[in-house]
Amino acid sequence: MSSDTSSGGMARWTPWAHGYAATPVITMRRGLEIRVAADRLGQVPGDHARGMTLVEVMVAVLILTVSVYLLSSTITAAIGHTRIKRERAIAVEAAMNLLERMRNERFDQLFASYNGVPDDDPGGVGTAPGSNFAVVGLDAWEDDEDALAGEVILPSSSAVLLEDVENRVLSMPRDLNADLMIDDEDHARDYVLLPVTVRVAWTGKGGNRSFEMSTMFAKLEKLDE
Amino acid sequence: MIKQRNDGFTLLEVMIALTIMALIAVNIAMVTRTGSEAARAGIFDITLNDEADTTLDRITLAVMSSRADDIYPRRTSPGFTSDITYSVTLGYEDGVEVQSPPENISFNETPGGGQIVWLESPGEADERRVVWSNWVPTLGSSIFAGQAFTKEELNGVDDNGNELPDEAGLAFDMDGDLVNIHLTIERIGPRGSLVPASRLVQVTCRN
Repeated sequence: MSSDTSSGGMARWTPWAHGYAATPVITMRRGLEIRVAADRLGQVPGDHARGMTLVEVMVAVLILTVSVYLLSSTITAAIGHTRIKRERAIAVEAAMNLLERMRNERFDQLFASYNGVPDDDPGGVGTAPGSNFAVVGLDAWEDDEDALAGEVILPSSSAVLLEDVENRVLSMPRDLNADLMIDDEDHARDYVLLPVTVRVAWTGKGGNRSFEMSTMFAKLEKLDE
Repeated sequence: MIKQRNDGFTLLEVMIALTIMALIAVNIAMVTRTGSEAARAGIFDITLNDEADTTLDRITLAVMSSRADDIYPRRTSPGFTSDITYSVTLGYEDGVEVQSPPENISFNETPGGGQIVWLESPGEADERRVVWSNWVPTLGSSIFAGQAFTKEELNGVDDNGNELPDEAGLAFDMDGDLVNIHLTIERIGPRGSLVPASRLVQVTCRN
């Protein structure tokens, strides 16, 4: 039997000290001993060496599994988000390119070239780009009739350009021919303002998504004094 | 006498515990590795695309600020050029347009790979030279053959479906005032393969 002595003021269990085999003894510095009855402590020192129960192990495994699942799903979501961003970048690029192509057209032919009617195309029936366009790399929505992801939205999809149509995105009704009044006449040949929205709607990683970009084309002329 | 309970684990318990821990450790290692690879690939992708976008922004701004008639040589698809010279309108002074000195954007092949180089006053004593981008391939790629990148081969044929045969990583073609800018940048990615970032931007000369 050994008699444990504490050091540095720390107390240690010495249940076997001084022949008190069943009584835990705390030996303090300077030889002060405190004997505590085992039944008052509620458990004997040997209890600390017991293993985990099956329930404890199962709970730990469950927590770990849930943690790993959450981590992996976060990573998967991040990867998916990158794909969504790439699709959106393609859509933005397509919309901007289309607006630049429109800028390259003669202003007075813009409406006829990009409305949904092929009959009024400036170069002959069906020669103009029209209101729908393909975006390579993006698939149109399943219910899209023309199966083209891109669309040019003008104040009117017919061959008649009206000022009094309701369209909040294009800020219509609006005076399109600068005569200071909004009327119900056809201004397809005398407009000086043309609000345009380019819409790209695609089915991708994140389901059905869409992107819209709006601008206003204006006829500007340099006046000689 | 209080009975001490110093029983250890049985061999079976230890084996089961080890198996469970091993499975969990393998799972965690796999997830961590996948995450780490995805993060590296993501950062690489962002860096590469930022490089392409920044370079394109510079080219686009230059082309936008110039007059279509001042850009030469003019090439119409399927013709193209990898080298344009232009002047930028700086503003007006006493009603007279003030033009910048001639500027040049070109694709240069170097032993370390292709570069996009911008020159101000090319060939003059006060010539300025700035490399706008590295990692430009000798032959281009394009997203316009579909979602998969298709590499242009040197065979006189338009392999990547962008209507230009055998173009390099930088190519310009014009249609009226509209300039089509084809740009590809590619680098070896974290997985050891070439990763391209390819763009087609159309821009109209504003002046």
